[in-house]
Amino acid sequence: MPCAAGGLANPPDFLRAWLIGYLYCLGIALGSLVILMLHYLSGGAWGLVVRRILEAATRTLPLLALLFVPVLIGVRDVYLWAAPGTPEDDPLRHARAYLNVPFFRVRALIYFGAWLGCAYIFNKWSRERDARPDPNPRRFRLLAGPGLALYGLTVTFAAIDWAMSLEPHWYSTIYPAGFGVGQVLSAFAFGIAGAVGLRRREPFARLVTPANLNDLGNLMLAFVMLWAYMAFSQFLLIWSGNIREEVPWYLAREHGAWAAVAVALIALHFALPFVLLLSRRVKRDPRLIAAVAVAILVMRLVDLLWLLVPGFHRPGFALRWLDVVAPIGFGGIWLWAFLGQLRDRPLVPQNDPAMEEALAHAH
Amino acid sequence: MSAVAETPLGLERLQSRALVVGVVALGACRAPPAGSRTRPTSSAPG
Repeated sequence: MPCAAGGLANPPDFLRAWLIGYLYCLGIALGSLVILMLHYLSGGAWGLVVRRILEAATRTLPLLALLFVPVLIGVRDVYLWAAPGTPEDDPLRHARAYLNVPFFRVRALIYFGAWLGCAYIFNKWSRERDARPDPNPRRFRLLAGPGLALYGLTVTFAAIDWAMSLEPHWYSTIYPAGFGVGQVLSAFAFGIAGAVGLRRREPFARLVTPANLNDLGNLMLAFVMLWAYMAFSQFLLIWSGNIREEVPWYLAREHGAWAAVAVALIALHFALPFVLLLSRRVKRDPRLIAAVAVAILVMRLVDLLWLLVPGFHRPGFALRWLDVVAPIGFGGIWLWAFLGQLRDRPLVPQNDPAMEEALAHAH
Repeated sequence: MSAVAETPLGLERLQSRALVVGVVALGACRAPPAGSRTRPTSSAPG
């Protein structure tokens, strides 16, 4: 790939930029898996609108597993704790039992095993149900419960390994939860934007009703609030604790231009979507809700940049060319794979018991 | 639902554009423009 050549010129910078794009796209794919499982547990007409979009996103997980290989190989270039030559008096010595390169790689294999297994089974069963009525529809629900628990466990460790450990001297128990919530929010925004973009296709058009968009908008609003709750809780606890080991993480992110990014996150990742999604008119209007969803998708990338880039230990506001271009390139490749998967199956699920409700839920 | 004629997805063009954007952007990783590598606007706190 062209980027491999770019990577040869400056592997650490390239791999860190690659990681930003990687975590952004992985967030949409994993968040999609979570929403699928939530819908299998809760039911509701809204899930049928986005199901095929979310399923297609989960089918990009094998590609994402493959695209993590450069990080696994170059782990010593990306993470401070993996770099050789940690001083003897460094507190990181005590974290060696967990933060070491072989165990990091083994854990990544475990995460991908869990995610790929769940995605494979749900997609397989969904395809089988397209072909003929499901003799055992409860199996989706029976797997979705443990699947969600497994996701919670694996994403907690993955967030620690892949994002939080960029700054190995700092930790927060809320960080992985906020990371997971961000993934689900990304997937809701992606699913809504995709459904609106495809709303003129028949027979899919009959599912994209104002009432179903209203439900999806309410769910996206809930995750906008949950994201803000997690982010604010973490800030409040660290601010009130005022501990020397914890405060520097925020100091690096409220300094210079990063402070402006933080304000933009409060305004555009929380306040504006929150106010807009309170409006019934916005949620029921395909163009307006799609605009909010796209804005959230953009702010998800900004949030990742704010979380990760100060952890790259550069002086000041050091946003580099690669930090923006590599995620765009990664996103293009991922979108290409996603659209290929989306074209693979009809947009409307067949033989689903909830279909009648979804069609009746038109106004 | 089956009584309605299916509209083709027509995503081929979007898919090929995504691939072009991806390849071009990743290709651009090879040659960062001069002066764009770092834009310090302030110093990091101690």
